[in-house]
Amino acid sequence: MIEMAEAQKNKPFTDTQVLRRNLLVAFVLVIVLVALYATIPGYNFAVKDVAVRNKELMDHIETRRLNANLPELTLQQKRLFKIESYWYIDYLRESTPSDAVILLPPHAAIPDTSEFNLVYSSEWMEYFLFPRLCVSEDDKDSKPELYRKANYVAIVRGWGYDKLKYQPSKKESEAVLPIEKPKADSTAANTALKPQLLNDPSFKPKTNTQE
Amino acid sequence: MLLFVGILMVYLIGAGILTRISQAWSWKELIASSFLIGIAAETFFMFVFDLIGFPFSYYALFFAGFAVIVFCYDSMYSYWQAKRKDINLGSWSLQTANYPAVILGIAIFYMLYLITEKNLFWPTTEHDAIGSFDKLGIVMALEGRIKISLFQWGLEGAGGIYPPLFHGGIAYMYLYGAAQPKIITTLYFISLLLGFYAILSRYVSTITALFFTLLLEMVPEMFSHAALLLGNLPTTAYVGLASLTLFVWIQTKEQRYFILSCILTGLSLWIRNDTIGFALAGTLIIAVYAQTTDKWKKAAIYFGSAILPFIIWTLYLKLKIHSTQGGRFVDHFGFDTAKMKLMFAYVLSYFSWIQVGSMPPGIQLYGLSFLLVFLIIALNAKNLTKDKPYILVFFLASFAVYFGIFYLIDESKQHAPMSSLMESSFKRGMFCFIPALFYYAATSQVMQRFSAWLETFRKGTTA
Repeated sequence: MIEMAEAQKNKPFTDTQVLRRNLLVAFVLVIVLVALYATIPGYNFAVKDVAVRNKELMDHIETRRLNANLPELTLQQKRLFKIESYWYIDYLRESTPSDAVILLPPHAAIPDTSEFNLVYSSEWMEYFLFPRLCVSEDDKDSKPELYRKANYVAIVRGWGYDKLKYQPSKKESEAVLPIEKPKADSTAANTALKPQLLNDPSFKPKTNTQE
Repeated sequence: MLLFVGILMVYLIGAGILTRISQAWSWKELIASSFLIGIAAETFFMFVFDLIGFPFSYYALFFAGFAVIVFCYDSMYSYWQAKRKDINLGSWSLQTANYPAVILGIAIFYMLYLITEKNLFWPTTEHDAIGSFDKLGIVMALEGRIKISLFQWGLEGAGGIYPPLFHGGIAYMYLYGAAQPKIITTLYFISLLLGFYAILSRYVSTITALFFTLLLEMVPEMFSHAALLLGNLPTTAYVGLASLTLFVWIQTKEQRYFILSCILTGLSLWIRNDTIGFALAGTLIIAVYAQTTDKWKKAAIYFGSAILPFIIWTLYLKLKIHSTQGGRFVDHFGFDTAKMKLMFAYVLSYFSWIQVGSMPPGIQLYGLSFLLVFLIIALNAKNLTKDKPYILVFFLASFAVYFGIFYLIDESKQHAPMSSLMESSFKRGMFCFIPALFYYAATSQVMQRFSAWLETFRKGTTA
């Protein structure tokens, strides 16, 4: 009797029994993973906010693009979604020669909104403006040599007109103008215009990292 | 297409060097480490070109890399001959398939797919990447040198004093035609996860290895970094695999792991100099715990190989860039109680659910990573001195040095208060400790017993 029990104990399980046990462990594992997702805020954030919501946002953008029969979004257009001040940065780049040294407004002149976020930071702006150089009004003392070389002024919210050595015919809120008087006044042509696309709230992505 | 060639070159360079070291690597180990070594080799070539005053281009880097591949061709070929039989799906049936492992595998791949899609869709937007790493990379690619023109005007950003591995890697991607270089983040993430799984699966069951790999992948803050162009995740890949291979060497005395650990520790200092604590901790555990007759020699070799990139970069900074890394540290060593208290409060927050300042608590930033590991350490308490104590010593020593480096930072010279540093740099640097701690937890006797019980139950075999 004991021998029979021993033999039964050592007998390998059938494939069906192994399958059942595997499925049971898999089921418990799924419960553990769901519990981790539901109870630990960090995992919830990682899955829902970082991954899934972003996927939904990208799908939404792609669907709207396909519905409007538009070509694939370029890097520049994607930057317009993510960086609120990018339209102005792009305008600065388009309106200045590649050897320009651009004077940026000081931090204090920038309103406390994300629209012109970091436009005062020369280290940050340089990424977009290279090979142009840029220097902030805040860097006047720390980078005097570069400050003296500035030959363009980035006008933001009316700041910067006092840096010009002439009176422009038109004073736009946002512009970029040479410090020395140009031969032909091109202020009107240089007016910075925010793309209409950015006024569509359904296109605005939300930043979802903890950075 | 050109970018594909560039990435393939990187993998082949790494594989060539690895197969020269040993032919015994598994495919997973080889693929995971190849990228880390290959991209570092390319940045080393950039550094050499910069020193001799020859502007690097993708032609120059291609031929330098190609020379390495040709030099290692025979070892790669013999590795392929020996290991190609391992590339197969094996035999399996729906009746006996390891379903828990399948679920974990699907979860890992799906989350990797989601974060990769996000990473590749959006351009660089992070402040540090725009202000420094990506900018350095793109200008390096344009000018063909490491000391780019922006240094002249102080526009290089905070990453300008970091060793060139990460932004050199970004420059490499640009040189090979990338419109945006963020694929480098994904490649580092894959190397970290694959390397971690490859090493862990030597010691634990597939389910345990995959479960801890999923936990590593889903460390919330690190997962969000897998879609960003920041240096913390790449640094974790180097530090994590350097520490794991060192532990494997101490356990098995397989020389190849020692060599790989030396290389990866050196590269940890070639990507960020503040990882020096890991090199010091590694040297300490070799000197104390290695079971070889020549452990002092090994400790010296390990330390020497780790410190060499540190010295090279420090000299380059001093002599060519005319900058120093020590410029941001305090001049005096007086004890600052308030600073110490603040730092301890943040550290407690990283390890728990307690919130300090405006930073989310550890359970939000790292999920269960630290809490789970500390729980397993507590459960394993009676085996603490017998069950791989060197991993805990490694953690404590490296953490002490890391903490010390931040403690010595002069807030006025850094232009940032300590609370801000703890909520950004220190917080992200914590990633580097997680692979080693997960390795300890997964291979601890408590976890091994649970894992063995689970396997016995699952396969239906009697114990």
